[in-house]
Order: sequence, then structure tokens, then C-alpha cells
Amino acid sequence: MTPHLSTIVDVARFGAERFPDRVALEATSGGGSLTYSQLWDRVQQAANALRLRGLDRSSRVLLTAPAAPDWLVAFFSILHADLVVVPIPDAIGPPLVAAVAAHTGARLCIVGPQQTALRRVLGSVTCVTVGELSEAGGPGNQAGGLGEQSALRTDELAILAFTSGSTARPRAVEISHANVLSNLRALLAARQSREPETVLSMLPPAHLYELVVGQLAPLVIGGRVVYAGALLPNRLLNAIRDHGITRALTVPALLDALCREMLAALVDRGIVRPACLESSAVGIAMKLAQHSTEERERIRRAVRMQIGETFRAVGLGGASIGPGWPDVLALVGIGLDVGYGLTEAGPLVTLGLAPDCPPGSVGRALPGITIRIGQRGEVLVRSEGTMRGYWGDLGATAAALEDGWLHTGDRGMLDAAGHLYILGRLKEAMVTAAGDTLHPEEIEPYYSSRCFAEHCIVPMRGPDGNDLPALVIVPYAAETSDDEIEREFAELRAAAPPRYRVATMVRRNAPLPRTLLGKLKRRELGQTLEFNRDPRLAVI
Amino acid sequence: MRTNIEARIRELIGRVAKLDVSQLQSDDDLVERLGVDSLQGLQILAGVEKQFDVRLPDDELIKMRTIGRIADAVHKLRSASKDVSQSVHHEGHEAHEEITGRAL
Repeated sequence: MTPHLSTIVDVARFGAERFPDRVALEATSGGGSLTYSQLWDRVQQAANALRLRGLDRSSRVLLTAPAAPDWLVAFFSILHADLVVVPIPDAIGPPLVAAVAAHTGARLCIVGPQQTALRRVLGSVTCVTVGELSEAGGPGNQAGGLGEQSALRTDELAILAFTSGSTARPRAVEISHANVLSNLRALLAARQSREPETVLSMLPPAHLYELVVGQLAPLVIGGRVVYAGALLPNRLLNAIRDHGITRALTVPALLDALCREMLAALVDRGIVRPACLESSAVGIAMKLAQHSTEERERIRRAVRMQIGETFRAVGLGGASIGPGWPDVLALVGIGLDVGYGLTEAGPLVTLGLAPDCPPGSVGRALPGITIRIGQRGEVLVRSEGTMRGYWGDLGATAAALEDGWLHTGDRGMLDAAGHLYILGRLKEAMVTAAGDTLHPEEIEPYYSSRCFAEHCIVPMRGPDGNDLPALVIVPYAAETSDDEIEREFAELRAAAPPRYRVATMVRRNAPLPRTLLGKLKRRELGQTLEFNRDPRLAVI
Repeated sequence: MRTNIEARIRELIGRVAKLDVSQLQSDDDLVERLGVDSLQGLQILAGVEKQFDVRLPDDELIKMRTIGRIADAVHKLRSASKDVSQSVHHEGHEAHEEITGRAL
């Protein structure tokens, strides 16, 4: 039975009591491993060191260290020392880290051993590694005023989680211990099995989805978290086999890379034709469906030889996925669980377990969570996991939280069985001069082309103040001429329904801007187009 | 040998990232010049590891943004592994001499 957890720190504490000798955390590339009791010892040491620094209760501490066992040591120890953790993905760069430090008033940053550039940039913010903290903290059973029992309350602020949300300006979401614990309880209640899992961690733990679902949830029931290191797809598949991985969380782009890597291995062994690799996910799924039962079994066995027999579930978050890969994974006996959430919800809202979740849906509300559809089709959520508010931004908080309902800013619909379907971002809705409401996602399928590595529709401010949908394309080859691009655009436009014929196309010779979880930053991109006077074809 | 490595890497990049690499110079930045994104970059490096049967050092991955640097890393790793297998071979000879008193 899961013990009653009152704070996030209890996950580590009770783990050490219940499964002391089980491996809790592991790194693939020789980075060592920690049992539950070793983890708790290191947490206590580091927390001691933090307390010795004399920071006020609830002071903010940045955490920029890379994904590794030490990350969780740092995370738990900050909380155990009655401080607030501000996790930051190590990829965002020193200037942004400095901005976050200023915004949150942080005086201390826990860095990775390689992050020397940060030490220079952060100036008055003290930087320290987990190793240095552990040394300073002494043995885990140090007594004398530095005992482990702090009077942490479940409703206290635990994490300031950053979200880019739908606006360009990132916001710090206030998440309490109770928020995270209610998410964990809801997730465990929704999943049928309490069997401890071995989860491969590929996404940044600074993101609440990875932290709660990919790391804390396995630890609550005595599972193991294996840190993947560099995300080379060949290494990831080897790690899945070598470490007995049962589950991994991904985002669509990473899932695509993993599935293609599996296929490439099948091509190398002559089991599948090379032409397969040129197809889309849907094309590949269709080709596989046409194979005989024996051929499909041969493929299944070949993939299993590569990835081992333990891998059975992929969790998908961040953005939606079309058909194709779920069918391919099902052939191999891997279920794709989908979900929907947002940092402001702590972060989980729905879960859709394979194979029962209808295609296109993000699943049903987790136990204890209520969803309703409000004005303009907005998805509203009532949950104990919902944030307390945005740090230092009462206005934004008031706009997001009304009468206990979280305004997600997403448009959606519920079917009779309670399955949620997400239709798009409200703020990315474009209201045209004709009074039409258009969403980028409904227009984009008409502008797919072999010439375009990427494309998206963004709202551009028209001369009369209304929104104009503009198409931004990234050509496959930088050398492709503007004329060729123009011709392709003209053809696509002519073939699209009148409603979706876009007047403006902009060429971009660099990848589209995305959040770290892969979501397109359409609004940000649209804003850069405001200043182009009369773009028929512009380059940005 | 090294030019052969570069040629194979060039071909791999063209195939994996579906890009025209014919004009690509050895020290052209793949991200700036070809618009390779981070995921394509990982797929390229994965392809390199598989094709040359090497494991690129983790702390150098982030620097591998040109064909030249990737080829250098591969060349170094393959030379190192050749040295190891040659020295094992040499030690094997020495051991044989000791045991039998005769050179092979």
C-alpha cells in the first residue's frame, strides 16, 4: 500500500524505508546508480549543506544541473531544506538563467559540473554542484539542530515551474507539495497496475510532465529511473534492451526518431524493404498491415531482439500525434498512452490508455479531476493539482483561475463518454476581417509539401488590425530557389478550399522556433511578421 | 582513409537529413549552413556510430557540427582501437615466445 505522503520529500524518505536496497536511479553511460537508501542519505547530506548556508525558509534555489541521478538528489534536498526549487532545463542558456534568477530572487543555483559558463554569468548568484553540497553536508545522520524533521506543510510552495504557455513571455507557476502529490495519486489510481516499472528518462526533468510522470511516479511504487544521456536513437534502443526498460516518456519528434531507428535496423537485416524508410508513419503502418500474419510476427520478433522483451509502454505528451506510429508500436506489443495537461494543472488533466483511447482523443479526466467546456469552447479544469497562481503576476493569475476553475487556453470538446478532444489553442485562433475564426491546425494540412521540411500557419497582424493567416515554410534544401518555392505555394494554395487560401508566404532558412517539448511558437513567429510591410515572399 | 571517412559521412548526412550535401565543405556548420535541427543532428550522429562502429565521446557531441569534426572524431577512435588490437596482438606474440621459447 502506498503510505500517506504529505510532502514531495516523503517520496524519497519512504522509498528508503520500504525498499532500501532496490536501485532507484541509474545512468546509462557509466554514471553510477543509487539505491533508495543511498539516495536518501545523499539527500540528507545535501539538505544539511543547504541549511548551513542560512537561507530563509522558502528561498528560491535554481536547479540547472543536467538530467542525471544528481538532479533528483538536488531536487529532494532543496525541498528537504525548506527551500523552493526552480528547475531550469540546462539547454536554455546563461542569459535566460540570469533572467530567471532575477525574476525569482534566487541567490543560489545548483549547477552541473560542466556548467562553468553559468558560474561566470550569474555573478552574485552562488553556484554549487551537488558533489560540493554532499561534501559540505557531512554524514547523513548529522544531528544537533540540523535534524531531518522540518515542519513542511503539504500546501507550502515547493516548485516554481516555468512555462512558455501561449504567450512569448515565460511565467513561473507556483506548485505546492499538495499539487504534485494529488497528481501522483490520480495517476496511480488511473493506471491498473502497481507493478514497479523501469522507466527510461529522456526528457528534461525540469519539465513537470517528465518530473511527475517520468520520475516521481515510478519512485512512489519502488520502481527505477534510468537516465538516457545523449539522445542518439541507436543508443536509446540499446539502453531499452540493456537496462530492462518497461516504459518511456516521449514527445512526438523523439517517438518518430525512435520508431525510424527500429525500422532502420529491420532494413539493415533485410526484414523490411528500404523503401519503407521513405514513407510517412501512416504509410509504414499501412504497409505493415498488408503483410501476412507470419511476416508481421517475424518483424515483431526482430524488433524484440533489438529492444528486449520488457518494453511495453510509451507515454506521449507535449503535442498530439497522428495515426501511424501507434499501430506500428501495437504490432510489436508496445502500447501508446496519451495524455493532456499543462504546467498550471500540476500538470496532469487527462490520461488515455492504449488500446481503449479513441484515436484523436487525449483520454478521460484522471480520478478527482473535473473538466468542462466553457465559453468559446475553452477547456476548464477543476483539480487539486492546479497551481496556486503565477509568481509575481496577480493579473495573469486572476485571468487563469476563476471560481476554482483553471482556464487552459485550449479549445476542446468532450464526447458522451467523457473523452476529451483538443482542437487548438484559443489564443492562436485567428479572427479574420470576414469574422471567421480559423485555427492554424485546420489550415496546415493543406500546405504539406515534399519541398518543405517544416511549415506552419501563424497569425500576422493585418493592416486593419485583424488577423491574417500567414504560411511560414522551411525548405528542405537551403539552395531551393525562391521561384520554386513560390510555384509550390501557388499550387498548394489553388488546391486548398477557398476558406484556407492563405495570402502570405514567408520563407525561413532555419528550423521553426519550438519550446523544449517541441511545441511550435506560432504567436512568437507571427509577431516577427508584423513589421514586414507588404510581404509577397519575404525571407526571415 | 580520412577522406574516405569524410565522404561516407557526407553521404550519410544527405541520406538521413534529406539534404543536398554536394556543395558542403568540410568545415561548414551543419546547423547554420544546412538548417539541420537538433533531432536530425542526433540521427546523423547515431548513423555515424552505427556505420563506423564507434561510440562518440559524450562531452564532445555538442561540438560535432561540421563534417570535419565528426570525421576527426571517428578517425581518432578507429586509430585508437586499431592500436589496442595491435598491441594485444603484440602481447600475444610475446606471451607465445615466453611459453614456447620460440618466436612465431
